[in-house]
Amino acid sequence: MFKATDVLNPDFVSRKPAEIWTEISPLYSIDEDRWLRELLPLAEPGSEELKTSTRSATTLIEQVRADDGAIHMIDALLLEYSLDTREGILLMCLAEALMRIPDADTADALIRDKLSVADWKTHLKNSDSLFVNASTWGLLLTGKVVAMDEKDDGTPSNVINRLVNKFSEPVIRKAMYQAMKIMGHQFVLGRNIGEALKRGRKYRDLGYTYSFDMLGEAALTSRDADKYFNDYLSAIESVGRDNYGSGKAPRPTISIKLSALHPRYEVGQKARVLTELRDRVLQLIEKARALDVGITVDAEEADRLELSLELFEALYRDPACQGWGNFGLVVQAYSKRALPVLAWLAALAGEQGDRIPVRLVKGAYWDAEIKLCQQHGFRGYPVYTRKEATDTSYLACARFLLSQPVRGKIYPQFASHNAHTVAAVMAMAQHSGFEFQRLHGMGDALYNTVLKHQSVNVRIYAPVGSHKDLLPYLVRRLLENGANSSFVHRLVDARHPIADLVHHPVETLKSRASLSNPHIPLPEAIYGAERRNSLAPNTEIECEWQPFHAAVEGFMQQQWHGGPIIGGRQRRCGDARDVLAPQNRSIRAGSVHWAGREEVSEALDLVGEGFAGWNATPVQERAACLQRLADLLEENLEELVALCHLEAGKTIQDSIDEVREAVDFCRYYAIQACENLGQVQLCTGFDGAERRYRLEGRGVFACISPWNFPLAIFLGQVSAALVAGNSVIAKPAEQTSLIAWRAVQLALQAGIPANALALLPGDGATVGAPLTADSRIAGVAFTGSTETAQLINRALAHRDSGIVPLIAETGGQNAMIIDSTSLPEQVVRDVLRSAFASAGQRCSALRVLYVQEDVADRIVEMLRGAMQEQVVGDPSLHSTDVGPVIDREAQQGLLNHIEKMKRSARLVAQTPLPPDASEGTFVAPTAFEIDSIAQLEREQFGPILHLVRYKASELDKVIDAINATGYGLTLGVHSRNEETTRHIARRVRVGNTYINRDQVGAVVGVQPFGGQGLSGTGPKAGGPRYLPRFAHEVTI
Amino acid sequence: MSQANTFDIPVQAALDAWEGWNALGVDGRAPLLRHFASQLSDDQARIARWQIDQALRLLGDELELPGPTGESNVLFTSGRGLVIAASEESATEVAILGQLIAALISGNVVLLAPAASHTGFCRYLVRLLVAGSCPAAVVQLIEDRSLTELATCPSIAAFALVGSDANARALNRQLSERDGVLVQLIAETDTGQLPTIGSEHYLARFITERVRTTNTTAVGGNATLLELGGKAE
Repeated sequence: MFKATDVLNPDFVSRKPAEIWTEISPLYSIDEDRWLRELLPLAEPGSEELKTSTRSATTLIEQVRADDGAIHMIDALLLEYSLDTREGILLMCLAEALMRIPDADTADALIRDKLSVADWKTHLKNSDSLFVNASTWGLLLTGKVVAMDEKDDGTPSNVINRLVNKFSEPVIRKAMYQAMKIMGHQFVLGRNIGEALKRGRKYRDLGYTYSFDMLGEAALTSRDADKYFNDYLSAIESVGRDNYGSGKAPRPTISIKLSALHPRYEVGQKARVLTELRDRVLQLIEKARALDVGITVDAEEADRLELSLELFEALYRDPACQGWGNFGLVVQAYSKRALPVLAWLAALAGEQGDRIPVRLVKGAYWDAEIKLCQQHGFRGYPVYTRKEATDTSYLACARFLLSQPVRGKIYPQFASHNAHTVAAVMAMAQHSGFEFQRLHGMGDALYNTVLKHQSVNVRIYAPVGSHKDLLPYLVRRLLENGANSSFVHRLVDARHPIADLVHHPVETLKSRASLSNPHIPLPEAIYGAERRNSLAPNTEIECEWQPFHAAVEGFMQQQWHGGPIIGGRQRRCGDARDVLAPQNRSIRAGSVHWAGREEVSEALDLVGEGFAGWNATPVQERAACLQRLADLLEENLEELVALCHLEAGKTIQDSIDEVREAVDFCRYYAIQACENLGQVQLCTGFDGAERRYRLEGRGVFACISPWNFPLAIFLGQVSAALVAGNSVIAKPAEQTSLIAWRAVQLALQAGIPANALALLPGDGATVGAPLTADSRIAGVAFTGSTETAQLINRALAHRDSGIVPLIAETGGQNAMIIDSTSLPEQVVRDVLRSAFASAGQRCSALRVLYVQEDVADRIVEMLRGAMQEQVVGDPSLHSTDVGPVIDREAQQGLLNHIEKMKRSARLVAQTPLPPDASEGTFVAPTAFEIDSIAQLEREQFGPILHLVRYKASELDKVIDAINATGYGLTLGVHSRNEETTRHIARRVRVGNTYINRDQVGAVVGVQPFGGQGLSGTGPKAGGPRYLPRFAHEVTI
Repeated sequence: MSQANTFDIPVQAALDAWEGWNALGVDGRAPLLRHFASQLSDDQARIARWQIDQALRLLGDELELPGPTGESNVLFTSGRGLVIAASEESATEVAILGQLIAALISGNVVLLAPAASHTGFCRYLVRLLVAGSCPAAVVQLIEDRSLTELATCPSIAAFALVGSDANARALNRQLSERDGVLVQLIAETDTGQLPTIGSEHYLARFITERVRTTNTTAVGGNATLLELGGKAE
């Protein structure tokens, strides 16, 4: 591993950049304690330095506190409406959403929703800031009204509630818009670059300079990317023309956000990023260089870091950039990779000879990074889990940036609002070739003091753009990174001892029992000590992707030959059937022998005999088999992924998720079984008598599974039935028998007895029908179509034996409802995933999108643009978003529906197919606009989305129409109004409701999955009530 | 006219009443049904109270599930919808009550369809319920219908029966012929001991599970991580 202190060695940055590059990726999610121990010596101050930095931080804070007008603008707002108060969060929530709502009714409802639960009045007059009080006044309408009400009723929340009820809503809305306008004015320097330059003069007179940014949401469409590009271009022109001030402060620069300049700025689309996006940024560079306006590339999510560096290098080495020295980027200190990234940049600058300006920030996507890793089961986090660890990393990076070998290569720009960080950087600096940066509206007091007393450059990073677009974005950043607000509190609160504020982060960190934060468990531990989360590589990170990809490739040429497994032996009965890849029918993955009547009968005999022994096996032993199976699945991840590609046409991420879900099922049911089955239960009956019973297996379970989750659902059913004590005959879908066959091999390897589990690949008539008609079958778990479920139900009922459980999970006609408070970019991203991921071949997939008519045009436009950017193709490629559908029959049915809809509905958009699509069974993702869900007869199991516009006043009719389909599987809701989401979630009869996210990808034990009505019988798979349905009570 | 249409009036009324009754939750229905139980004889009240207690224990609370930060996942239960609660001659009053209360407390609306000999008792139960515990459409008495006729009732989600094994099987066969929803047959065939009605897993047959997943980062509810980040040790 890379040794951190080596970076100070003068030889280190003289190495080739390509050599240092290899040190970056391995640190992606390195063990936090281990890496921090490496970093600590770099951050640790010498005793002299510690004295100096403590002293100057103390002085700084004293000076700030001595200044009466120290706190203004956003600092003041955050001070009053701290994000750890309900009012703070609600105010920000309102600011995030209100201005984009076009219709008055929905806006009023949102205001009511947010205002009714908070206590605003206590914030009034607490702050001296005109801005804060103006906001509060806005919230309270007018002082007069409040005073009047205070006379007859003392409780402030009642006051507000009554106000909201009493006064006409337009008045309140107007006041709220006023408050938002004031906030927008504070967060955003100018609505356009001209205004920003003008408003910035006041600060430039004080000695500040600027970096302007047109930031906003990431672009999802080419049109939005073009718009942002033009905004940047015109900003560069305006800044280039600006000659204000000729003092010693450096010229203003522009910051650009790459995700705004290209609709697919992501690792999977590297080819486009390194051509299209590169050309685009080059154009900006050429313009900027001609006008002497520096450009800084903003840092975004950790997944894009390596891609951003590759792109940066390509741009930096381009002749357009050579010899300039004003093309820079941002590095986030919360990233474990920050230090080698800086070293690489220094080497790059050393090699080419052009200075690279580097803004060192702490990082603003912390919550999102943590969440993403937990969701995806990554091995660790790319960021530190303690604030003081990030501060330590910041100082370690600062020491490197200020070191002699780096001088002249990198121009360090230290962005921080923390007085101690500022003091520590100044104490470290042996030269003045660096600057500080702060956000517009934040850190005024601190940096006014710095400018007054020190000779150092300070640049303000200032958002420029319409308040409507920018305020939501900035507020979300604040909300997502709320920890930012804490320092300002303490900085100005005289009751807070200065000594606490100037504590060196290294000291704080070292005082902790562990360097990482024990309260933030690693992704694998989020379910507690007893159940390990399934792990997966991060395909966006080179050091994880490369070995994974190579291993999968190793299996892509393999041929698998499967067949029935009875008594642990594979049968080669009848003819073997070729297994061909759905994406390309000329690729053969292998072959499968299908079971005939004879094998069915043999399996029934054998597994019937095996039941008693397996049922008598202690539950802990049965569970241990599942735990071993889970481990075996993880060990064989790459082979199973290759099988998912070749047999089921699944994309890379879908294939990984498939294996993870199977692993989760095994571990979850193993633990549930140990907790709830096997041991004697004691209960008091209704007659007062004590009863002792145990849950035991019922006999032979038939598990009939679908092709769309050929491993996860297959093993979910099988492992639940097995661990409950049943012996199992598994019938996989005809299309995906190979992966089931491989799974059964692993199950036997994990210790499931050969007479407790048989696999019968084959068709419904030969295998399914005789199984379900056999009186020895003690229960059936089925996932598939409603029609087949009915056939099975009939077959079971017509036997001359007892009534047995049928656990059926069937289809859905799943809707998503979005209102005008929702964020279009978030909606469209979630719609794409919900409707088109896995080519729409998920029971949970979105079929009918209900869009409030007031925002429908914008949503449709964005959806259309984003669908153009989707990539349909070979699912084993990283660049593919949507793979094939499973077979010709499925393809034909979907194409028929598309043809029919083309005649009766309006085509909204269709993603283009690749030129070689005819080699496989592809269906282009397609969206239609229709009038009502009632127009659809049955579920279309593929990438076809239907969109319906609705009036806000008719929400309940929408809900009734969804309920009237009789299906009830999943529902998506996008709204910022919690009352609205509650109302919808309460009224729509579905098994799984997803609010403000996509509606697919239910996780075992987290989102137990299953529907009601036509969508299934329950209980939910991956939930606490599932296993008991596979068992029965045996009185003891 | 098909047989089904003869059910139209009570069925539609029941379906209309379901949403409100179901929305009360177990906590909301429990006191209402306790009030009902308090008017019964000791023997009868005992099984009614037992079912209510079971429901409060097993279905009452929304269950917070563990998961990633920035997301809330809640598992809760709902009634399945319209349930026929039928009983044969052999059913005891305790069995009829146990079945009825299980269906009601779980959030279903009920068509109570007893054998002729139990009609008087069931009429009494319905009168008591409607007088003080639930709207009239939530529990309605259906008189003089055979199981075969009842099995044609439209829009039912489940069919609960206290009766013989043979009749349960025949009923199951008939229900399986229906199109649409797989109607759940919940049969107690040991009319003496009531091992099914008296089981801890009986209520689970009357409910459907629901999960509500909320992305809390979208509306700024990132308090969890903030707290964790600054938590004292």
